[in-house]
Amino acid sequence: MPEVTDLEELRQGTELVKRGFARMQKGGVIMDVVDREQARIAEDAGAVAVMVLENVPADIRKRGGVARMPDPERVPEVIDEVSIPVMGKSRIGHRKEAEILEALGVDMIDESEVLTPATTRTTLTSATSPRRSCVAPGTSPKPSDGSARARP
Amino acid sequence: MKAGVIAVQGDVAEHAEAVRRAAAAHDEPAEVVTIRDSGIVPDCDVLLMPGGESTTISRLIGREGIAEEIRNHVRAGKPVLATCAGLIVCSRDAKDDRVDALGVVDVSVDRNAFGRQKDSFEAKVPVAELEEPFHAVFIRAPAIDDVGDGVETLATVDGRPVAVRDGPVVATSFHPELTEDSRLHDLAFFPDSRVIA
Repeated sequence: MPEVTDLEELRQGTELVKRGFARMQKGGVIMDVVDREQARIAEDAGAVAVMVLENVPADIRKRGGVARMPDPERVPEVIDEVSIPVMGKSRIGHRKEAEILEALGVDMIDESEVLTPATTRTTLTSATSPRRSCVAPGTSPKPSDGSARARP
Repeated sequence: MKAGVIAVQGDVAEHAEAVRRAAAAHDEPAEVVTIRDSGIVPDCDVLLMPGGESTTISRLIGREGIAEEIRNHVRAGKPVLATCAGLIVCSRDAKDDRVDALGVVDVSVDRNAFGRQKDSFEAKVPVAELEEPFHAVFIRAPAIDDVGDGVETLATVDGRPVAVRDGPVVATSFHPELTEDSRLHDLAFFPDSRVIA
């Protein structure tokens, strides 16, 4: 990252910067991908961003598995492969997953109800974590969906 | 004034609103149209090239036949304001095969030169011809690298140009459409105005 030094009132991770990023995605297609080859195809086809997944979350959950954030080794490969933004999903309320995704360089974090919820009690807020990546806040899961069973 | 916002992808609504606001400040009646097809650009007095993904925008304006119309608009000396991805698309060289640069601004650009989204920032940036600094929002922003003869650098960050004027085109790395400050629209569309201060 280039050092920015000569500016007045430099601020990062602000509401304006986060919401502004989301506005730039409008009218575009964000493609789900599981590896760098799929990411390349998505970018070549004109996607505005890619969403890295471990696998199709619905398939994982159907098999009774826990649908988590993508593999931390896979994310940098996708980031290297494409020039468009790279997004990742974290489990609802799973602050550590969101922090890991941010540390990996993901541009936007989708706190997603399609993954297995980590908690039924809380969602991430931009005030807590992460500090700079955008977070699209998740929808609080209903306690009746059995998610307590799948808590990590 | 008929203002056309290139609307194939990106922050089109923000640009439409910002140019309306800028025109209203000059008591200039403005008709704002969003452009996804060819045939509309030739009727426009001014054009806006939004932020978004330059690879996507470049591909779509090429496919829809809008790209050549934008070149003709600039050749006719009509004003354009291009921001972020708009700057990349308008440049001479985006140093990337994935972007088919229009070559209407004689600069080369480095895409995402200021880093990824976690490096994005807002700051007050001094701009030539403006008395007070401009509150500029940089989002995965490009920087301008090589500036051609006849291109005026209006602002720099750490020595890298982030706003330029090349003939009728004003292009910025940042997003004046995300704030309420219309002074860059004034530089692009109302250059003789006394509203600029």
